[in-house]
Amino acid sequence: MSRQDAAATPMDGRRIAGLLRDLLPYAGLVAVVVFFAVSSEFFFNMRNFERLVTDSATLMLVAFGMTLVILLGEIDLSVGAVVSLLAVILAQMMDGGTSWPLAVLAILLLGLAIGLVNGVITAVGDIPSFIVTLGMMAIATGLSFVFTGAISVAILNEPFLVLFYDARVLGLPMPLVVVLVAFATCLLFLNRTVPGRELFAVGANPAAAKLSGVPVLRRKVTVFAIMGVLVALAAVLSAARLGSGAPASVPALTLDAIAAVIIGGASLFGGRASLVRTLMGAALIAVLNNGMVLMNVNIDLQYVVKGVIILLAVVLERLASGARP
Amino acid sequence: MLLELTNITKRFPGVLALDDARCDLKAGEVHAFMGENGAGKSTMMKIASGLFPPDAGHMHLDGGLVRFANPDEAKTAGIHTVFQELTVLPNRTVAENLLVGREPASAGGLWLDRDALLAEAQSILDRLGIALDPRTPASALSTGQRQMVEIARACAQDPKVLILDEPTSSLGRAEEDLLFELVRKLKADGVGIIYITHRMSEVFALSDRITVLRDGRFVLTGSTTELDRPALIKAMVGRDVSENRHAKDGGHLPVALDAKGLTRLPMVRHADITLRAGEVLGVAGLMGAGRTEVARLLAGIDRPESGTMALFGEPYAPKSTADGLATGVAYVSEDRKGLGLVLPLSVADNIALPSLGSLAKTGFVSMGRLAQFAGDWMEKLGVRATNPNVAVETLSGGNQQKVALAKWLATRPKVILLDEPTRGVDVGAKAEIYALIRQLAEDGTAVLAISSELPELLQISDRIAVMAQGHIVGVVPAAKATEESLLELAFTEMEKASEAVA
Amino acid sequence: MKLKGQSTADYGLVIALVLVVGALMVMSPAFRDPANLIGIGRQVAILGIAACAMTFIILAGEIDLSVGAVASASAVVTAIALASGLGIWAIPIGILVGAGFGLLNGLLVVYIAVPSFIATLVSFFIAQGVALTLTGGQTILFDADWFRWMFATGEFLGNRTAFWWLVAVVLVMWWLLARTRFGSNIYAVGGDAQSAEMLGLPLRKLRLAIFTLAGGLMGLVGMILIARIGNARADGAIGLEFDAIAAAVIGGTRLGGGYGSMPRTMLGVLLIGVLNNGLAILNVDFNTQQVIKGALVIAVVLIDRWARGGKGSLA
Repeated sequence: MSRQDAAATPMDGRRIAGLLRDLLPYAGLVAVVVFFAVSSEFFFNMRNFERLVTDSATLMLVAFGMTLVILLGEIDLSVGAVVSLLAVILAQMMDGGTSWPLAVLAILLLGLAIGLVNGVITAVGDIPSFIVTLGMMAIATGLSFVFTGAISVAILNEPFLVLFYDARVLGLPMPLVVVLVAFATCLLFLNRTVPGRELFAVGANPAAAKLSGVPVLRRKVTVFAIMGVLVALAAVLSAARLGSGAPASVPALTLDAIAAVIIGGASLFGGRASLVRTLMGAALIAVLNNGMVLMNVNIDLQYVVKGVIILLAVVLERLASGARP
Repeated sequence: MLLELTNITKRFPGVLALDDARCDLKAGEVHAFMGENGAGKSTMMKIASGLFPPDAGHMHLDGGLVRFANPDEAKTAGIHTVFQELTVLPNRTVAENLLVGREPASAGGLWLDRDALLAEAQSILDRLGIALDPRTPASALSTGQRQMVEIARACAQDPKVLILDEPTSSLGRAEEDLLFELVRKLKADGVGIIYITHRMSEVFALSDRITVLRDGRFVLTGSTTELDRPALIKAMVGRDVSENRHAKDGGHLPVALDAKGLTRLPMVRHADITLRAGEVLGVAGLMGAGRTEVARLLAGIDRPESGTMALFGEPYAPKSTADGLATGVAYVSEDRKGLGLVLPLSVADNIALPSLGSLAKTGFVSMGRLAQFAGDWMEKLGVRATNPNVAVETLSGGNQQKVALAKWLATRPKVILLDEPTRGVDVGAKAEIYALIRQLAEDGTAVLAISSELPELLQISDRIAVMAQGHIVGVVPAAKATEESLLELAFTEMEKASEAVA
Repeated sequence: MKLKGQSTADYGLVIALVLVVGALMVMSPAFRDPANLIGIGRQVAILGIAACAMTFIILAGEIDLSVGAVASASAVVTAIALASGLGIWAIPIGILVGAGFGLLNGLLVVYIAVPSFIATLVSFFIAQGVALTLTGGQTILFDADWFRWMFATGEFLGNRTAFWWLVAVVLVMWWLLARTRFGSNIYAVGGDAQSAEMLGLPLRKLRLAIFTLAGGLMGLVGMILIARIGNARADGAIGLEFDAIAAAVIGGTRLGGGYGSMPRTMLGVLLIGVLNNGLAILNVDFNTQQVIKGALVIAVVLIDRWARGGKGSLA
């Protein structure tokens, strides 16, 4: 009598790697907080934490969108460039006399449109997303310089600046509130709506998802569209924080967002990602950025540190999924 | 004796592919290998070509014991195989494909000689009588032509042993004749040829000896002149006829799905099939007969090139699986790991996937209802798992298959198309699945069950349709069918439409 | 080589190049100046070598997003070596730095099954970080005229040494691709990796080799970079990977692998080089160029996809 199909329980090595991979964002966050608390007198106080929170809002929003994109097994390399571009357009619109609500609305629609373009070309054109978004990145970067002539456009619209940077809702800074609302919405979308839940299947096994009746192409376009809206929102907050719209205003945003998602244990091939762990990963990156500045550490060293942490996360993820090269 | 494999045993998770089987080959002989699907022929050949070692047993080549660690070693030893899965590189020319890895070069391999490449390729093609321009890119070739290139590649390496696995499956008439010529030439040169095929006519035309395997075991080897068709079929079947107590005459039952003249080249040709509500229609046939392809047409995964379908009397032309599902037609794929299930997802998520819409009446998926839903179906099908949230990849094959079934049954289809519903499933779970299938019919669902296990079909079906080469060659009441009669039908050979000339 | 598999894409590329050059010649006398035209050859040396490396990688079905950063890192290390008086040793050191990063990429892809774009993204981080850390944000100066002559400024047979390095690299890479088994195997892996494996081709060695080779070439690029300007900055090669990919893609290299060639990539490089040069002369700014390039890449890929779809897909 032949034995039953061997239940594919992960071997101990895989399980351990999986646990480490899932712990990494939390442990990492705690580690850096402790490190900076100990190493710098300026780190561990409310004022700094508040600044940390408001400064990292842009990264958070983009990281949420990036989680969905990577969950699908795709990537979006254009986010940083598009945030800059949208901030520039926003600043120029307000400079030209447009009221801020109208300008913000326009930016949100524009972000949505850009996301749709990325999504449609990737899904319907069947082209790898990293080429499409790489191209979009170049286009957005170029355009933002062309629109401004490389000079930043100051935003002088007081109500706008106050609302999106200084204002408080229920005692919390507005950027934090926006992040929390966005987080809750994304979480709700991912876990409690039909398209959201289907994303996990699409990312893990698009062929099986299609056979199960999931409209795969539509879902892909939807995710890029959502990313577009989040990017626009991030642009609004970024513009308010910097008080201006400038080309290349958020140099490390794209890579930081990808890093946040990967540190959060997402699978490189799609099908596995967690908004909560991405949040932790983004917090880790934000603390890293903040702490290094306070300690006057060569900001460039961050690159190496980030690179090593990502490497660690990637290796753990691959080991945990039992990948055989 | 040129090649001998003795006492070969090979086990894969959940199945004993070869059980103390053997085969041998003389130089200059054509030796046909026959058996039902899953008899072990492919596994035996893969062992001979060095793809993986046997768990037990030995191989002797030219009298000496050999052990291959990888296919390269087998090739170096002179054993070349042409598998059904072609390894023709689409972005390279015929010449480059013929000589991949062995391109002629001067200056000690530092300078590929393109003229010599073309010349050598041309001489190979000439020698074998294949009329192809060596400069043609492989992407421009038909499947038949690619198969010829694959065969030529193997022949060009002066094999001692040539293994051909269903070599004529994609060939047109002219190409077939060419192949037979080739085989005769090689035979005259002293090459030993193992020829796996379902085509009786080829077996009797070409082979000197025939070996039959069944359920991984060796059944017989005999000289072709001493064997005949009935004897071969009997050897391939040879089990006790199992009684089917359930089979009923469903002539009065309403027609659920009626398909006429379905054609989708190259696998489905003018297939007529009728499914009745409340009846189980088994579908038998050898590998390559087109059974899965027909089911995919019925489900809406592929679109037919011609033919019509009607669902409960209404015209039925689904453009996708979603269309099929919406009208109540579900298809359970034979590839549960690749297409049927999303392995890393939980059992509950897998079961709920096609039904998410119905669980989200408010726009939001109700987690409570999802859990209930999944739990109910797990119970109905007897899925044994620690809890509904474990990843489905951790389950045993039998339980995975039950999850795959549950997922589709949960959509309450009126027509369900099952493709190999008990593949890789242990005996206990099989019985449960059989009971389930019978129950489905009792409840009025129209069931199509494709299976390579004839006893299984005899046990669960009311009627059995037999397919061969894309046609339905016969439909028999299960009560009157025997394995032999089914297999006899499955070996029907249709007249070959002459395809593109090589 | 030219006679097989000639597709509309090839003709399209040549036509595009002819049109662009023609238009620029009409529009600008400065462009027409023979000194300018020869200068284009020199200007594209860096892009050309990077595009060669990228073509190899894309042909094998992979991608390398780290090339710019690796070139920067090697440039910085070489400059430091020269400034420290290591003389001729600076050259092998620079190449080794590049090859080292390439090897890292290869190891990640081959042994840890990391998809190449993530693996090279990681190397990008690390290499950029190394470059930034070593320079501390400053410019590194060095005094080695012989070095500068050797890699960029020297005059030789009517053009600069940088140009001749490009020629040498293109010839060697072409030979590797079109006249060695190694090259044939690269096409095989890119065309159908599964079949290539079944055919017994040494996939692991192949992949390790191409990444390491690309890295080494970027080391050379780094050297030409600093030889040209006379100093090293951490951001000297920003955006190079995108330009290299763009050149390869415009030159007909398919992203899925298996299709493309050195000569065609060089046409792509030439097109970009001509565009850069001509647009600069016409005072069109760099950023509009970026926009054009981005749109061009997407357009080329889309057209290629559409053309292929029309012809029917491969089995």
